[in-house]
Amino acid sequence: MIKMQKKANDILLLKSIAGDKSAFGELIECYCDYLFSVVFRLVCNEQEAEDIVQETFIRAWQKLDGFDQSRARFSTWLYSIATRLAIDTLRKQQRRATLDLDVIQVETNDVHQQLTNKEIGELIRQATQKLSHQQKVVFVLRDVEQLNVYEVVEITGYSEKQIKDNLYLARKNIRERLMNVIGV
Amino acid sequence: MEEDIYKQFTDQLRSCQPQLKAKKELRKRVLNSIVTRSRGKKRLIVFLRSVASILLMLGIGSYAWMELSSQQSRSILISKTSDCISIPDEHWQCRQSISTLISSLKESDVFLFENNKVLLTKGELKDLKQFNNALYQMVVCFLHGLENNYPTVYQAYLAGEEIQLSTWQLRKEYKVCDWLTY
Repeated sequence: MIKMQKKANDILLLKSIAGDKSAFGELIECYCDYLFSVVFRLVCNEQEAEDIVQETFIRAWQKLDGFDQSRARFSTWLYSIATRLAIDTLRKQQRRATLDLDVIQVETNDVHQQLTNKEIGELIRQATQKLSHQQKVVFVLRDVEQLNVYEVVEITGYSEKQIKDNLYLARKNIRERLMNVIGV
Repeated sequence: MEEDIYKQFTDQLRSCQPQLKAKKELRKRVLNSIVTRSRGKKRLIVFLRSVASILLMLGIGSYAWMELSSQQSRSILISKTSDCISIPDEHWQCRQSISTLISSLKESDVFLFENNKVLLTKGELKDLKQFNNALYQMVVCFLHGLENNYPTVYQAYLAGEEIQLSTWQLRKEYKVCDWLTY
């Protein structure tokens, strides 16, 4: 089933490279959910995440001629564009005045509770607000999205060592923050 | 304990998948933007082509105008340049004439000839008139030029001094070719 889906996506991709906009529209529908989830977890803002996803697809269309299927998967290529745009947005966010909420207000103990986008964003923002951009990107891609190191290298352009170091610092920081919240 | 909290937190984040609400709307917006940007790009290309065409037309126009407006002055310049080019020919003819004159003077046996130089004196010139009137007229013509351009040399000749004539002297020292050209 997965193989069939992949083959169908490959055909859509080839049609898109040939200039077929409707095929590209199909690709947008295939990848927008996952792309949105990655971007949203990075920027923690629904509107900005939607804008980034939109811009990602527009840039992908513009650069589609230069995409080499033998070098990278289409999804990885899309994530790399989206991640770079998200990092730019994080930088802009940092420049803006941010509210420093010291208490994670969302209940984190209930694993099965389905949260709204706003609540998820707030949860991530509060847990990761002390992280650098690199640490946040590595944390989201490795521990939340569970991508392997090589995929993260390809998406972000960071070295394996950078990923390892940043992930260590991110985990440590988040753990401390969670411990403070529950008062252990 | 620490591991559990962290694991619970990441598990919860994974289980709470952020939802893109308006998928169809996003698709529509992306495709519209692609079309709009592509139109904008096409318009930019059309604009740049128009600008390039105008510049090209202006360039060609100004070149043509310059060609026409400067035609008269260029033709004058060309005619002057042609004159300059013809001078070496005249010089060449002049050199030939000088060589002929010297060899004719030498062959006349009227004048003394030393080291490729004809020694011209007033007394011997009278003898030349009897033997070769045409050659005599040529020498008179030369003496006339000498009188105009080198009066002291001519005065010395009249006083009875000899004038040493060689092809080199006639061309370089007395500049006979310049008398003839101008």
